[in-house]
Amino acid sequence: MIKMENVWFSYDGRKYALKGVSAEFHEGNYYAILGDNGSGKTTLLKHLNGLLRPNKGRVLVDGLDTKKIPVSILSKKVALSFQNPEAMFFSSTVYDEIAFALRNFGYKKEVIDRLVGKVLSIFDLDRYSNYSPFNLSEGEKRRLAIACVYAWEPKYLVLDEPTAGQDQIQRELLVYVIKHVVRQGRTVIIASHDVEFIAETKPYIFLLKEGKILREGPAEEVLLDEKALEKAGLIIPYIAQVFKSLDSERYRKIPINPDEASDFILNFIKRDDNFDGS
Amino acid sequence: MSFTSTNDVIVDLKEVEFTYSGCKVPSLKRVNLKIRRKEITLLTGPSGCGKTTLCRVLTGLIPNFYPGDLKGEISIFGMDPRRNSIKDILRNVGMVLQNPETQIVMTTVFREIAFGLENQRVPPKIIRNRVLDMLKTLRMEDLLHENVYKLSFGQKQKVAIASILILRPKLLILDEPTSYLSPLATLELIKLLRELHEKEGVTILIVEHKFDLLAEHVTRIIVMKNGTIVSDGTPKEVLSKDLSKLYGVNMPSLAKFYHKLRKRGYKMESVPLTVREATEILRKEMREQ
Repeated sequence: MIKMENVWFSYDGRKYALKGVSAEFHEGNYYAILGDNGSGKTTLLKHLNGLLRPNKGRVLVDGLDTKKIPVSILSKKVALSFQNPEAMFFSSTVYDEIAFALRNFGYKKEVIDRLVGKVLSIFDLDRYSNYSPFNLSEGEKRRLAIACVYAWEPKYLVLDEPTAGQDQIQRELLVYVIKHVVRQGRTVIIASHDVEFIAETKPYIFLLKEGKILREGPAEEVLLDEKALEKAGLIIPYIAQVFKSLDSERYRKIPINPDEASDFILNFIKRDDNFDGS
Repeated sequence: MSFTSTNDVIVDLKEVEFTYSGCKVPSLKRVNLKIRRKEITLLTGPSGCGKTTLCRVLTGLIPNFYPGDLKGEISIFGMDPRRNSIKDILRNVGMVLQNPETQIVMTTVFREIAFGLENQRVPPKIIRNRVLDMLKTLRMEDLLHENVYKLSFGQKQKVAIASILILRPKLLILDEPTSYLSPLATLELIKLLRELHEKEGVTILIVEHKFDLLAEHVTRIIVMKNGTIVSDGTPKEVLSKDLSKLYGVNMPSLAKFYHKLRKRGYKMESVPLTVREATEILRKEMREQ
């Protein structure tokens, strides 16, 4: 478990980016930090692997205090993929970029080859193996950034806005990666404002506003809390807005994504058919 | 002058093809595109389909900055990037780049947004007022003297957008402007674009993967795949095709809903673009049941 206890942090000693954040991230679960631009999402994520350390309060990764343990050890457990992929690339080929951390961790060459090969194929980057990471398209760069941290199978996979600039195929790939990691008993933590993606994948949500946690809870609940979402710069998913105004609470739970919505409508029709028949 | 007069066509591409130097495969193939004055166009398509390359042709960055083999007929406000310089073309066209960090050159938020106007020798007093107005609209007044590099990535994206909007180009191209913006910030940007469009008649081309919030505000959607245009029409026309299945496009959730129902044998009256429209259609259909 990663545990944040009353974490305060300021970049300049003047303005606080995090103001007393407490949160727990358990094994085998999927979490999302949601909030407006500049609300502190990225700052929070950077605390999870010790890249930033609290001014006040503490962060415990499997019981280890991030203030006392070097990032090199923490990052083996907690892998963070940055928002701007260019900020993390420096190798001359896509292959080396993915292999970099694995080499650092001292894996044998055969193991590295196997792991990199697997990751290249999962993330559909095989054909770019010998390309410079800087020659990829923006969308591909972001995919590579996620592939790099996925490679060493960390216990905690932390992704900063993973859906930004991704098409449908990449979004589906991301859904697969998240499910796969969670099913293995590992943890995925993302920062996002992609409400529609959150409604489709339903993580446990922490709503962040100006460095404070405004609300937390399962997606089904938080995504329907219009007031809290608005305060955090977000809006209710369109599907939920439609079914809220249809007064669908009368029937059953409000659908929040296209799958649930189409189930709802088809069930509604079926039930009425039965009604006619009785 | 009738609406369809040829004077209204500001961009006219015929059979345009482009291959980057050192590449074997063309990134654009047989692109035919007319953009008329005051259109608000959304350009979408899967990663690597040629969206950004097309924008680079429209700004003259191709072939002037990114060399390669450019074929076909091109007219951008009567100019051709093979004959005219980037500088000439950018007199009419403004473009917000995908990654804000590649666009930002100055230190403070104020200086970054004022940069273009300073180059145009606008008097300092006017610059100041215009920058302040812009920051107010984007809820960023308090960041005026902040160092741009200290801002969050999303805030940098807002600064990058502001620094181009303030130049009031005739054709404004935005390459994935909302990818790092919160829904609230996206709605603010849309409001600002609509104002620019109504007051100054700006023509807008937005490249985006995720357009739930944008769909109802654009007049036209163009879908590209493998370097060519595969669909082009009004939002209703284009979204009534299952773009996710056909081209790997991430459709707005209301359109996804429409197509999911359709696949399962239930056809809604039409593909809804707004929450209100979806609610009305469903209310009617549920009553009829």
